[in-house]
Amino acid sequence: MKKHISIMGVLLVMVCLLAACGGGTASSSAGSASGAAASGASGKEATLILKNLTNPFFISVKEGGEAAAAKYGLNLTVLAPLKADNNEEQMQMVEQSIARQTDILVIIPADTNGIIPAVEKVFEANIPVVDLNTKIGGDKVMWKTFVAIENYDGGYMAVKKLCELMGSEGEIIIIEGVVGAQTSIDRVKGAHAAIAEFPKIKIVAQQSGEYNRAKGMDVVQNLLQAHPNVKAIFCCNDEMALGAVEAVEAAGKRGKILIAGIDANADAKQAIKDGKMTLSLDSQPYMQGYSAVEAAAKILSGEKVDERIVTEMAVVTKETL
Amino acid sequence: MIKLFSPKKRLPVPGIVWGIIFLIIFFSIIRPAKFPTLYNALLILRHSSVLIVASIGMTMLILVSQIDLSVGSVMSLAGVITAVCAESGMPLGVSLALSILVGMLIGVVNGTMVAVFRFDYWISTFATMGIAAGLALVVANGQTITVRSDFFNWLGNGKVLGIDFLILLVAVLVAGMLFVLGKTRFGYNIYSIGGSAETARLSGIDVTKNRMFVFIGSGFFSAVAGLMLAAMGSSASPIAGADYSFDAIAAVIIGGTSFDGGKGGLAGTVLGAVLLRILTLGLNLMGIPPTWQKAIIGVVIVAIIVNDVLGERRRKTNESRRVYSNV
Repeated sequence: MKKHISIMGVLLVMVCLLAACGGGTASSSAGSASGAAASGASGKEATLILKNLTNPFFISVKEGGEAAAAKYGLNLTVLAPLKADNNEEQMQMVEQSIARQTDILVIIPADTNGIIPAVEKVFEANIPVVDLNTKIGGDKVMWKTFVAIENYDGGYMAVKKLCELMGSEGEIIIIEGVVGAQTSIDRVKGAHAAIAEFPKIKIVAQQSGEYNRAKGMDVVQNLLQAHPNVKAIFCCNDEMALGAVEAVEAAGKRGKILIAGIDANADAKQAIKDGKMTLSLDSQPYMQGYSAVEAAAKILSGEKVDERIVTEMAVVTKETL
Repeated sequence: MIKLFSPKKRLPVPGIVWGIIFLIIFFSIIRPAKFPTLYNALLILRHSSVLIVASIGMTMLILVSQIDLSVGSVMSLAGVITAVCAESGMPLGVSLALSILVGMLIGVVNGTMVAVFRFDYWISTFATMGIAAGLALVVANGQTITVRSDFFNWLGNGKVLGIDFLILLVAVLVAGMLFVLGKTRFGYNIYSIGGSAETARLSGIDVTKNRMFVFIGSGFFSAVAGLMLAAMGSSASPIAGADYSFDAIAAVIIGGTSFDGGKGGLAGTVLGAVLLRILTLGLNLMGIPPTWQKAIIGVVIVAIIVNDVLGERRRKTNESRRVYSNV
């Protein structure tokens, strides 16, 4: 076995790596448990499955969730697919949560329909589910509570404000999120409803920027050439709106085109301060994560929670910052 | 043992076997109550199944020194074709067959470009990757399509005697392909072509025809993998297979099949896929954050590849030493 000493050596390095992070999480949860208020959920295991950890939005959700877990003394494990928004990996994580013997599962599904069979298994294993941010599809209600903003309302709020700032007339472009993503579909529906109230505003183009900054920039750059008279751009999230900002700057139209996004992440707020972006919608991801894990803690300690918990949103403009 | 893991007797047991044993022991020590359970063993196999099937075609291709980048998009395309057809009222069996046919057709296109016209395989399969990915989005109209069929759901989530149907399906497919690669003329030809296409041609093997078959096989297995993935979620997403081509290449390479061609085999690939899933399950059980997991998986892959390369070199040195000492 002499020749396999090398692999053992490298794997040993990995062990040390793992031990380092594993040890780190263990001590932090112990520390939080001791400082926690006494509750029935104390010491129980909760799992939070996100869509990814590359978008600042989900990092805020994670931080909110961790804060709530610390308050109620839950041991929270946060997981996310390595490939952002990958349904297969999420299915695997949901099925693994049964193996992890978690007491409660909080999930933001990346694919509302694709996740159903996996959640069904957790449901049958009698593990309560908190559905966060995006609704799990299907006719069967398998979750204890659904914690989210209304994406439809979000699209409506942001675009209505945008239309008013446009002076109730002109051309508008809509940049959708990942094609087929429920959040994007609902936000776009809300946006259409708002625009319908302004007969002089016309949607000249609607394309997907896949919730991604670089892609958003590409798409807007192309659309600006086809539609030079555009007055406003509504993007279904901030990452794409920031891409739009860059595209508009590159076209030398800074300040002439209004740009709206949703999420109000740090970069977007800075862009709004700098006057590069017009408005965003704070869907308060920190509060979403917090509310969901708080609901999970309440469920575990036997308290009753509402079937639908709506989290608040606010329009963010230069004035409100 | 050695014979079981590779069709060529002289090849050593791939380093990956040691990697798998090590990881199982490691995770069992760290999480004794949660890791070493029958439920987890089945879960690992279940979660490996799609990757294994997607990698079967890739193994054959890398054995003949080719790559198929279209694997992932063919998976997506197969899934959505079945979903759209089944939802429009076509019998499920016909829809499944149609998807597999389309997958094989894309294999024919790849094979025609690469094997017959000798175009570069990177560019050719990159092009078909785009075509299949685009078609998948068009067919599905950009949305995830739910398949309302209990049987389809059973294919992905049903069990036979307590074992997932998917695992049994993969066992049959892998056993069949191990036989084909190890015991048939076609398998022998693949190894010969991989070793040296020129020598193979001179010894009367039809290189073009065999490469064509390999590409068609890749299309077939990609389509089957896509259907399995769709069945697991009872729905087909037009981007479900997105990065699968690279995952499949990774599984093949860490399974000990070399880009040089002619070396390695399907058994290593299966173990490669299983190792990747053991890692993700173990790391998730430990609650390691996803950001760390990426780095750790990378380190493990490098360790296994380095071990294989070093082992190969040592074997060569030892062999030459033996030759000289015999003189």
